Amino acid sequence: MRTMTRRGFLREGTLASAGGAAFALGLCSQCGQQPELKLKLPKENSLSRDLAVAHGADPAQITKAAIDALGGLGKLITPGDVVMVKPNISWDMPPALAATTNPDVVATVVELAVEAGAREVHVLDHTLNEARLTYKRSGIAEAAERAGATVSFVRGKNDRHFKELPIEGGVSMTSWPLHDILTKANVLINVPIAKHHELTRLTLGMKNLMGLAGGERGAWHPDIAQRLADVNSAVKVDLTIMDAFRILVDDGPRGGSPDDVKETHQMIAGVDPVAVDSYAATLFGLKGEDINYVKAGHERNLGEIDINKVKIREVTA
Amino acid sequence: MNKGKSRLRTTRRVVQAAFLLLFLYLILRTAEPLPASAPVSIFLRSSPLLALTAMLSSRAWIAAFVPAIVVVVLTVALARVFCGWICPFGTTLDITDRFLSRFRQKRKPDAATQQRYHPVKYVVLTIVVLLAVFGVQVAGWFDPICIATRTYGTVAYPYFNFVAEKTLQTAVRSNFLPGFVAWLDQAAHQSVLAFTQPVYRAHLVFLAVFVGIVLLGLLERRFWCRHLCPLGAIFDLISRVSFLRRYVRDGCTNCMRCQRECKMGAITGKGEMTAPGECIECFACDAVCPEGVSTFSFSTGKAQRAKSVGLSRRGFVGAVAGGIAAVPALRTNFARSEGLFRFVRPPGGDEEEKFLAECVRCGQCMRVCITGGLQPALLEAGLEAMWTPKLVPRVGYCEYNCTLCGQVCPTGALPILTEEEKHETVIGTAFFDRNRCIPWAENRNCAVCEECCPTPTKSIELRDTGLVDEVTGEPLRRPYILPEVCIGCGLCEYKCPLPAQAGVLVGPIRDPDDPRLRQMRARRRRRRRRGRGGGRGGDGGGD
Repeated sequence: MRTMTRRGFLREGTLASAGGAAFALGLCSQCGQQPELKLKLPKENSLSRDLAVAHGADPAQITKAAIDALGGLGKLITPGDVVMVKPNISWDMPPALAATTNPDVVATVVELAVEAGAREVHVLDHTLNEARLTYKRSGIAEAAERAGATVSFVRGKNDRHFKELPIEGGVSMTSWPLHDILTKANVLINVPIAKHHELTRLTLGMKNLMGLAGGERGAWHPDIAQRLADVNSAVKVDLTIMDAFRILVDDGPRGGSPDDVKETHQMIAGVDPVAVDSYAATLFGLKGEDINYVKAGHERNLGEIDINKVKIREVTA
Repeated sequence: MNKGKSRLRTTRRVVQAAFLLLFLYLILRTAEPLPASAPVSIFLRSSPLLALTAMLSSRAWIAAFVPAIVVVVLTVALARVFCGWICPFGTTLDITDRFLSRFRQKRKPDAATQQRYHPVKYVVLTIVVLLAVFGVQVAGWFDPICIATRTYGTVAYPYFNFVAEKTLQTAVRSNFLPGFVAWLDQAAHQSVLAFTQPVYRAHLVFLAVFVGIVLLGLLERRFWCRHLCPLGAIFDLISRVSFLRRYVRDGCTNCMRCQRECKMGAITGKGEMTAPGECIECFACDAVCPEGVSTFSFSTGKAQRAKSVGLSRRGFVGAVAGGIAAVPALRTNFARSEGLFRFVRPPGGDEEEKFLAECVRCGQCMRVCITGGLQPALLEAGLEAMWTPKLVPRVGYCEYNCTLCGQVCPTGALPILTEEEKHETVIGTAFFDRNRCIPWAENRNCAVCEECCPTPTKSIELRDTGLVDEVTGEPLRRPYILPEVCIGCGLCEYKCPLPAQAGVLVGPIRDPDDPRLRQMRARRRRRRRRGRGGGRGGDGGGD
């Protein structure tokens, strides 16, 4: 057997590393040729076009009731689908303070999606407070995982999952770093919570999509209405389930005091994101017209802003 | 070679490796989620040098340093076994010394030359302790545990994480064995990788300090431990009365192999003399002794003790004079005396003088900071404040519910806070730069700072101006700070959408008579009187 000398080791080691580097470079050059990423399309479905409003004392039950009132997730999800459920996990706050979506609501949506045959259900949010803390305290990570979802962190605004994607028909922006789950999932269920917001008056479903955007999202604020209308035109939400079990009526969107929480015990579901937001605004004594981005969304034909023109199915659970 | 006895050396190497791995594991776990029972700062709390200087400079008993007392007792029994078996920095130097061995000069100087510079460590020790007496804490710059903590925590780990993360990302992009790579990615993030890449200001300075000490190994093995380490000097002093000693039995042929092998230069004479304070009980001498007569035991019989090289009277007087001269050199501080500079300190570090006296600059708070906003100060507030933590909100803010830094602080310079206490802890005050802030400078609506503000009653208020937004035509509202509510967490500055410098900035606490400050300080003093010197449960001083 030949003995390995130091010189021999160095020579062969150098050759081997050069080979490895060449191989790695070859792999890298492939990455440039990966198929272009495309945002998901709207999922064809036979859900009712009405607005469902469920009333009751149990968040999980009214979530199910609202979805059932539209026909159930079976009318949206076909077996094998990859479903993205987008709650609001932004703040390091317990559910009782109504800063984040109720974990029972998220868990129920995940369960129903799994029941409907979804191959994968993803839950994630680009949070404002530190993600490890918000995922835990909101109760959402645990509840969603137990219900069968894949829960993943967004690691800050430069997370590698944020990919510069075109905003088709954008007025205020033409592209933005969006989470690549939007290129992998074919169903998007938005599960926001209705809250006060000083700048836009309310933070509702359309605004909840900010949690799928990376980069310097704060820079949207001077032109928030058009930016949100842009992102809502590009990112196709198939179903919105508005958590109005508890709503935050002041000091939003973070709150922090029980005095700011109002128990409204409702769940609003619909395929029309503008109509859902308009209805939710009424819980605060406002109309969709009062919220600049909802108005902009209506003007961009994203949905109906006048809830008198929408058929509402009220159910109790 | 004595087979039976070389087993002792092997045991020592295994123990050294185990302690180094434990140290590295604890560095790794100094992060959210902090393990409930693992005392992540136990190595720092085992340093009698840090214990002594922190208690001297803060003039208080710090219960968290009980492990250091244990180490002192250990040293009385087993001499400098800490240096030879436990110290993670010593073990690191053993490893680097091995790599440097082929570049080291072959000619070995005689024992007298080798020992000529041993007293330098006493000079370092004298100055460090003397400064502590005058309330100046500089031990952390020289304590080997601090150096190891800073090097591994703020240099080595971030570098490791960077390389590992980039490699993983390349693997993910390459689509090579995607299932395996995805599994590896997840497993790595759940075990060894950071949540986000840690970045520390001036990490190159820490790297340079480390590399400098390592390169001293070109002159002699364990150069730092022999000549410079003030912690080693403490152990050296205690070792002179220790029970464990080296003896050379009859039959020594004066082959001097032990003297050549000794990495501390502790063996003198004809191989039979040992300087007890210099020996770190590594058992190399008895491993190489061909006659098997070099031995260690507790017997009180005739030990061939070499005279330990102490500090001469002249040297001691010089060190004292140097230490006293260093006091005004460090404390006469233009930046601080003129009020030019004041940091936003981590929560509970609001009494600057007290904080400077108690902080040992170990970097644990920076390592654990969940947003990465705690960064080492350089010279901007004078040499005295060098490497103390300050909040740089543009890099990371102080998370409202987070209390990690107080939990890892080895000295209690940062107190352990409950979540409720943390909510009321004021660390600074925000103010607007109206030349930059969008609603002020550009007449556009923006309220990112207001929406993020974590105080239940917002510390930022939007007020009507009677003007309209110049683009959207909506009513323009401008933000104002409510300083009596603001806690200075820096979330507003962090989230401000302006590039580079924000339009809202966090500076030091505005009102020195803020009633909230008085409450916080009174609470701290009450707690201190009840004997809670800070420290995490299980670490000695927990609550």
